[in-house]
Amino acid sequence: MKKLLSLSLALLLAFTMTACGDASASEEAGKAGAEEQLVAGMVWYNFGDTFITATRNAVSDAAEGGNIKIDAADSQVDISTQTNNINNLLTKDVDFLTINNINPAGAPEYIAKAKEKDIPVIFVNCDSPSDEDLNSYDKAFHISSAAEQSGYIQGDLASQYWNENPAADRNGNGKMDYIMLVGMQGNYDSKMRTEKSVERVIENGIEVNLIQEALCNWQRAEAQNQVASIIAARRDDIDVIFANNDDMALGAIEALKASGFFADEDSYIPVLGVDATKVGVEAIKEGTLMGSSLNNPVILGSTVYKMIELLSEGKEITTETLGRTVSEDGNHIWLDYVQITAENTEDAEY
Amino acid sequence: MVQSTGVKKKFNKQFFLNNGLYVVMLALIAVIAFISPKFLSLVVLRDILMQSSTRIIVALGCMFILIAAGADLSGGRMVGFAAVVSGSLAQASTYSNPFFVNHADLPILVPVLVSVVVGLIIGMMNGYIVAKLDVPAFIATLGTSMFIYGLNSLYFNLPPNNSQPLGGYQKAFTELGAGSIAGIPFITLIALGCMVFVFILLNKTCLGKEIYAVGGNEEAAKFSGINIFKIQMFVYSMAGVLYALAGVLEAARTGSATSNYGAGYELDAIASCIVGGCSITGGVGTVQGVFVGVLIFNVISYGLTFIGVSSYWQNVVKGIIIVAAVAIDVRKYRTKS
Amino acid sequence: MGKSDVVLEMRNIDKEFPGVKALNHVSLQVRKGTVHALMGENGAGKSTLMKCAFGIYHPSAGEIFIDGEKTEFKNTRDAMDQGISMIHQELHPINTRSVMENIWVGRVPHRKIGPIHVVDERKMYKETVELFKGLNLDIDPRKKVGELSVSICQLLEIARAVSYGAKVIIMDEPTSSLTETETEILFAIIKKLKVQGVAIIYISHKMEEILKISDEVTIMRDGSLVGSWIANELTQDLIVTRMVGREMTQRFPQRHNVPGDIMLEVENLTSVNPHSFKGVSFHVKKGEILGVGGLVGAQRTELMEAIFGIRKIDSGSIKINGKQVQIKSASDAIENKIALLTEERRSTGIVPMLSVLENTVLAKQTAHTHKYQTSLRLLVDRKRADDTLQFVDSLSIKTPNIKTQIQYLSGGNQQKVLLGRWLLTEPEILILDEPTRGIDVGAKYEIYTIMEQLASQGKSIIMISSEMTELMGMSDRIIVMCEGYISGMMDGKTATDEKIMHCASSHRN
Repeated sequence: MKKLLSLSLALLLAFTMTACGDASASEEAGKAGAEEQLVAGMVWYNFGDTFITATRNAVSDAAEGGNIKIDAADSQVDISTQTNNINNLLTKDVDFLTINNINPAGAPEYIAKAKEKDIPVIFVNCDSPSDEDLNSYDKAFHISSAAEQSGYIQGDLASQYWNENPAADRNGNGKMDYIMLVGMQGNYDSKMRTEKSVERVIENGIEVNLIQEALCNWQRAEAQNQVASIIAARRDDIDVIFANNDDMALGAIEALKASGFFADEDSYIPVLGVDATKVGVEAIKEGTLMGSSLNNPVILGSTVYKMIELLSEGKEITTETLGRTVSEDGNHIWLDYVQITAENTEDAEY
Repeated sequence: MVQSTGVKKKFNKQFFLNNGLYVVMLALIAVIAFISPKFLSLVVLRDILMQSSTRIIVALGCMFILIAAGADLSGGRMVGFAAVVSGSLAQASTYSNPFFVNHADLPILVPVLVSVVVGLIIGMMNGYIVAKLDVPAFIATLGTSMFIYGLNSLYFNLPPNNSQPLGGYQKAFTELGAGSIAGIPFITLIALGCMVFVFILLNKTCLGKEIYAVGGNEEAAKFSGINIFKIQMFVYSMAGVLYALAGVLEAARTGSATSNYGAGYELDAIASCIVGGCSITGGVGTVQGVFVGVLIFNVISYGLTFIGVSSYWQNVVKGIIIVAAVAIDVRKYRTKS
Repeated sequence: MGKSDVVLEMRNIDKEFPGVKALNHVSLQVRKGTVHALMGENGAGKSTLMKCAFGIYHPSAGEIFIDGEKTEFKNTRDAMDQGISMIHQELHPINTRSVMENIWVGRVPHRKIGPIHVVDERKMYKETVELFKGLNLDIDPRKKVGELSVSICQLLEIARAVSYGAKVIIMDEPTSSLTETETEILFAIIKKLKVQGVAIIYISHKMEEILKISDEVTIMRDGSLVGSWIANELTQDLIVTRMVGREMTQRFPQRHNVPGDIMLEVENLTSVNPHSFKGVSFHVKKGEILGVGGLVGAQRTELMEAIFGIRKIDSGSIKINGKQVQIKSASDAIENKIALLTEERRSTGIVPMLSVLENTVLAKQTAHTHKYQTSLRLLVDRKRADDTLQFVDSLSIKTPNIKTQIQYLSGGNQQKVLLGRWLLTEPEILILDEPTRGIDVGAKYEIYTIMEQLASQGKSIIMISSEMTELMGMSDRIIVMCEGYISGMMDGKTATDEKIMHCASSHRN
């Protein structure tokens, strides 16, 4: 018994070590470079987030062979952890700081701290600090996708479907009855997608009616459970389902399938997501998920790295040097969302 | 004489304390059905049972631990790990974004078994840390939960997958999660099977009785010749297996898996167990109770969504129920002063 | 003694719990400067009555007078303010704080500096020293309570009661965890308190004690008053008769057991713990009752737990029937037909929330699982119930049924269930560690009878006991331990208090 146990423990340990070895190999590779290595401290809100992980991967891919070492920290969706991470990195005297900020109120303080250390600070994929704060320090930048775009894309797709299909109004009340699957309370993306999608539908001259807003914490299983319940309660009223991300949209689709939807053309309900994850794109190809939009993590990750590289070379960040649109005051970089539907699933490859 | 009437009275009171749970659930159902009569339908029953199924299996695992007076915070992350491991092995060879490139369709028994074995190993690890290294269970399992989550994230991020949600399962695997026989979902049947198995184990085998004894009074159990190490190893391993099974079914049911699966399930499971009558101090707990405990939480979340109550309120109600249940629990096992 | 001496009077007290009448018209008069013993079997209502006198319970009917004035206690604090203190059977000192802080907790002497209350350490120390001087106590007020023995803590509780200026101090089984010498210290303190005019209500099962120190004795049975007597007028037998409500001619059963061949032989057993037993050698014969005497801390329990495989042995050997055995765990011991009824019933004996049945079969089920199993390895409930019922019958265990949780049984009945647990394992050697502690007289006699029967059947019995009469009354042979060594051995028939006490303290100094 004891021997068996120690054996299995040893096996598990061995497995752990090889697993660690594999995954960190790419990051380690960069470390072995030249002596005078610059270090970029990167604070991410959650390593467990699919999008963030993809972005991190893109950063490390870009950093491979480069001269800048990446020191990444996980805030674990917690503001105080984020603050600790930032302080730790500053103490370690990193040469660049990027913050995937979940504490908008803390932005001025972070800028001030970076200024004190005289290192560039880049706010990545989050709510922008105020222009006043950004302008207070010439090495403060903000790079993000325009979150509202993902909402607008959902709104336009829903409106288009509504206008092209008279049967879309399933209960015939003349209003678009929709379910909104919310990712996370207080999250900037979540808020923008929730508001802007419906705003756009109204702008397009369609009356809307909210059936239910369900908080699903970005989780597929949670969305599946809640939508199952809403279907059981108001099966014939649902016209459209908006989800703040693909995972939740796919959960909704799973629930719809289980109660007989998506069996034929008549039992179709438009479900809209964001992110264009691989499973999401598969669902678009399959004809269940109507559309999604892509905030390309590879573009985000590589652009962040490019910015750091430019700054390390002492170059200015402009639309020309970066290859992305830089705002006139030189401190905002907006990356566009790309609409993904059955027509252009190949655009989701990255 | 005096004492025996005292005992009887205590039992009457205990009878009410025990059945308060059913009263709460029936009241909940009554209120929801009053607002929306459609709630009393087979579809709803089927949905709730289906949504409860994986949670029941997690809670059963947790119950073993609580009966043995332990603690386990690794359940949720174990569910997530098992979901990702099984998901990565259950993909159809035709899927365009496979986790393992150029693999053949594996029999679905493979992902199930591999995940369960992983769960068993991690469970044994928990047991060993608690029983042999004497690390307090709370800390030990907090540690393993982080460890497992880390492992899972590493595995999930392996190229070419790079942390993309898994999908493209073989039909048989999806069927395991979504299919049914005579209107009863497979996963509900599996949960039922687990309940019967655990019930027999706890009530009809010597091992089960020993688990209760160890949880009720570890010292007394030791003096009675029970091997405490063996029992601890068993409960943590058993819990690991059940968590893993739940993870597999969660992946099959949702048709996907990410490293975030199962987050927070351990606390839900503990809450369900406590509400279902498990004592926080060990030695007490029944399968029936835990079943009702899980059901109550699912009736709340399903029912409140059903009548269109905001998600925020669901947590308020759940919170109140947990505290009320523990308040009752404390009274139930309060010894005579 | 006139009426004016009465400091506490309880008149026609009733106390009802839902469905139970715990007290039925009980009256009690306690006089200034006397020790008033309160006696009765477990469940007779002594503790309930005292809880009424201390404001923990409110009587359903009846009156309470202090110094002739009718009064009422809202809560314990109120009772304390009116001069009643109670020292509980189980103490709850704050182990991490000092002696003096424990004494003055809740009313620490302090000075006011502005709005802040600052603890006046010096005053507290001085007052504590004075308090201890008045009671002849020699304890350092600055010591942490956790470093003191249980008995000293008991004395601290008394000092605390005195510090409240108590007129009446209720002591519930104060000597249950004290050794003889410590008991003497307690009695000296009680005498001092009497002189100071304090009345003591003394609850105890130990009859010698009662007759030694009390002035009056009140006896209760089944929630009612049997009567109050001047202590001089009573004998042990009279008390027992009145408590039990029937004649009890003997305190110990006639013994017919005949010691035979050597069953268990222990040679040079030494613990891994340097402060525990050392070089212990002794033997027990078949059909013999071997008493083990000694003071608290003599390592008797540790020795027995080591023989039972719970504690580690550094060197020495254990032979059973002449064959050397290795016992590394309780299950090894059970396999070698040894049983150990532990001293601490609550912490190492019962599993409180499990039923009488589960508690009874616990050891056998683990050791001889197959006897309860079908071929499918499932338990057969009928066999387990039969075994349990057999002992509920033969040991006359009083329980509503075998599914009742054991925690609701009286101490004596719990002890009998535990005895049943061990008898089910069919042991040849029974180690009984303080088998009658905290058990009422009737149940004690029953346990003695069972011991005698077992010995007559040829079983070997080792009985640890701190009660001299029990040791002498039940043992064929007595060994005495002191500080981890065996300090003496004597025949049960010729042993005396003095001999035992002499050996028990011989390794001291």
